[in-house]
Amino acid sequence: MTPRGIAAALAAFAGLAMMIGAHPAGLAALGIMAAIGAAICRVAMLLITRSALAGTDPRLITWYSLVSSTILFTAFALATWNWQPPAGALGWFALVGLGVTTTVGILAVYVSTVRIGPFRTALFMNLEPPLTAIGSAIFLGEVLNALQMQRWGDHAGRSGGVPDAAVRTPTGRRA
Amino acid sequence: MITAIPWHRLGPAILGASTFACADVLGKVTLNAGADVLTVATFRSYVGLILVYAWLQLGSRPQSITPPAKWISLGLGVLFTGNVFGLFKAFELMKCRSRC
Repeated sequence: MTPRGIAAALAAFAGLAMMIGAHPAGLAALGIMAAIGAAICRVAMLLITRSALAGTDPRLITWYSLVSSTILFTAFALATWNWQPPAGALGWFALVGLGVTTTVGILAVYVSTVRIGPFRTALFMNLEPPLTAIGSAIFLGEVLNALQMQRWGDHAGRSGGVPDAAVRTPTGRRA
Repeated sequence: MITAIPWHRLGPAILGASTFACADVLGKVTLNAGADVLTVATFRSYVGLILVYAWLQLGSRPQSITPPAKWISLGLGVLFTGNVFGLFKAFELMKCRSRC
C-alpha cells in the first residue's frame, strides 16, 4: 500500500458517502454494525485468497466457496421455511441474471486478487457504486441530483486513478 | 508477455466491479418483484453452482486442488454468506430507520 493508494481509497470512500447522501443521524446502529460485519467478511475473503490460495485455480475456489454458501443458504431457508420467489417474468429474468452476474463477479474478484492483490482489487471495487448509480438511473428511474452527480464524477475519477497505481511494480516502476 | 499487459492485470477487477453493479440493479428489480432476500440469495447460489460446474466440465481441466486449499475455499463460502447476510441486513435495518 502506497500513500497515494491509501489517499485514493479514503477519497473514494468520502466521495461515496457524499454521493449517497449519507448522514450519521439517519443511520441505525445495528445497520452500521451489520454493514461493518459484511465489510469485514469481504476483506477477510480478499486477504485469505491472496495469502493462502495464490496458486490455486480460481474456478475451483469459486466452486467450493459456492458449495458451502449454497449449503448455508439452503439450511437457513429450510430452517425458516421461507420461499418467496419473484412474481412475473421480469422478476424471474432478473433473478437468473443476478445469479449469472454474481457468479462472474465472484470469479473475477478471485482472479483479480491473485493478479494484483487484495488492496488494489478493493480499490477497483469502488467503481461498483458509480456503475450501480448509472444502472439505477437507466433501469430503475432513480435520479441523482446535481451534487450527487458531481460526487459521482469525483468518485469514479478517483477509482479510475487506481489503474496507474495498480500497474506499478513493487519497486514503483511502471509495469 | 501477456501478463505484462495492463488489461490482463486490471481486466478482472474492472469486470468484477461491473458485474457486481449489474447484480445490484438486478437484485433491486427482483426485490421489487416481490422476492425476499433469503430466497434471492439461495436461488442465486444454485445458478452459480450450475454455471461453474458447466464451466469446469466444458472448459480446460483445472489443476488439482490440495485438501487445505479445498477447506479454505469452503471457508471462503462461509465468509461470503456472512457478507451477503450482513449487507442485506444493513439494507433492511437502515431502510426501516429511514421510514420508522
